[in-house]
Amino acid sequence: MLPNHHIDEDMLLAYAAGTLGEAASVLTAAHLSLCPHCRAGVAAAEAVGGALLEDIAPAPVSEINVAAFLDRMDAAEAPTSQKTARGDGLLPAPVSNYMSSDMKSLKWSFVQPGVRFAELLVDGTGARMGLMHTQPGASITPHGHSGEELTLVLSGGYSCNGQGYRRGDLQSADESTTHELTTDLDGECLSLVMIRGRIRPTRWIARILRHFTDF
Amino acid sequence: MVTLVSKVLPPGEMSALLVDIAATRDRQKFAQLFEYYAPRMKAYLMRQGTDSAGAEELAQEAMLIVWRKAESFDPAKASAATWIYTIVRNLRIDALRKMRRPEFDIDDPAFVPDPPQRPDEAMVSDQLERRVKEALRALPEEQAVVVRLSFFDDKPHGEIAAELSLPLGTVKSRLRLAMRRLQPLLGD
Ligand SMILES: [Zn+2]
Repeated sequence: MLPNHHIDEDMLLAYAAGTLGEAASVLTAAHLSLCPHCRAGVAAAEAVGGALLEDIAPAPVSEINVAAFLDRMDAAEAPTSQKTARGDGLLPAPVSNYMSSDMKSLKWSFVQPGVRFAELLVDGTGARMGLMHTQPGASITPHGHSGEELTLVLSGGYSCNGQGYRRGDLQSADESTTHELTTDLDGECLSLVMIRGRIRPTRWIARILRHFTDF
Repeated sequence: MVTLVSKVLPPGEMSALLVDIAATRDRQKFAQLFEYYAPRMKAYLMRQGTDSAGAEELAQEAMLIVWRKAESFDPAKASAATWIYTIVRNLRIDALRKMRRPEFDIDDPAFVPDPPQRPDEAMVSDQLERRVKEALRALPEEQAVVVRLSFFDDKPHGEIAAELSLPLGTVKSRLRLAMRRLQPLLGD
């Protein structure tokens, strides 16, 4: 089944322009692995990049003998391209590339009953990315945000504000959003989460949540 | 200094040249491609804040990647300009932002392939590029400005908004409107 909840166009454009932070780029690339619709959007945005490159006023470059340049370069060892690890079909490659061990051996931290989190990356912009695992029926306490929060479902599902989220669906929240996520009763849910800024829990229990996002 | 090939070639010509280079590994033909794209890559990198010497070095490196990866260029998926753009962009991210560039991998077992296209829906990539160019020219100026800044300034949208003294939400909505004008071209 194809995703129903997509990446915002401005984020696709930032991804194509190469200005998105690393954590948000991982989330984008993971969604793109699962979503032909958004891949078409990125292709359009990259075509814009191509058109702008074509139309830019060229900057003079020093004259070089291209053939001799290539000879020199061919003599040097070509870099071996790093092949992405073959995944098991559950985690898209952009995510598994950030894991040195399997999921069980990740460092999971307790967030609240039925909810645990394993951090995979803190990028140069201070955004955190990691896997969140929730038990059937477990809910994530209502919380607000001081920054952007993106959630990409990888298996199972949850509901939030009357909407259902399944594999490939992306949910974004920001300063203006307060939400509560409830895991579907029929199974565990695994998602990839990116958090920028602080989570603002709206209940005391979520102090624990604040504890883990305190940075 | 080389004489600048500043004329914009008909779309398709560069794609055909690149396919030819991949097949023949002809260095003189590559020199033609180099003369056309290296000055454009350099200009792009300088717009991103790289100094002239650094931009020239990176442009050469990017052209070398083009030479090495030419076989993987698929004119059905992207035009030469678009494919070359993604190469110089990724090199910039790697060299200047010092971060990995996460990308999807079509050989990934988790990858969900495109639904089969009807032949009449398939658009040649050069045709797509031509229509994207037309759509870009037709964009309202306020949208065109934020699109250009997004690609040329190595800055998050928040900083672009601050420079234009606009709320971030306004910049985002202009980008979304622009993307919606460009996206239907893909027939999705
Ligand atoms: Zn999508």
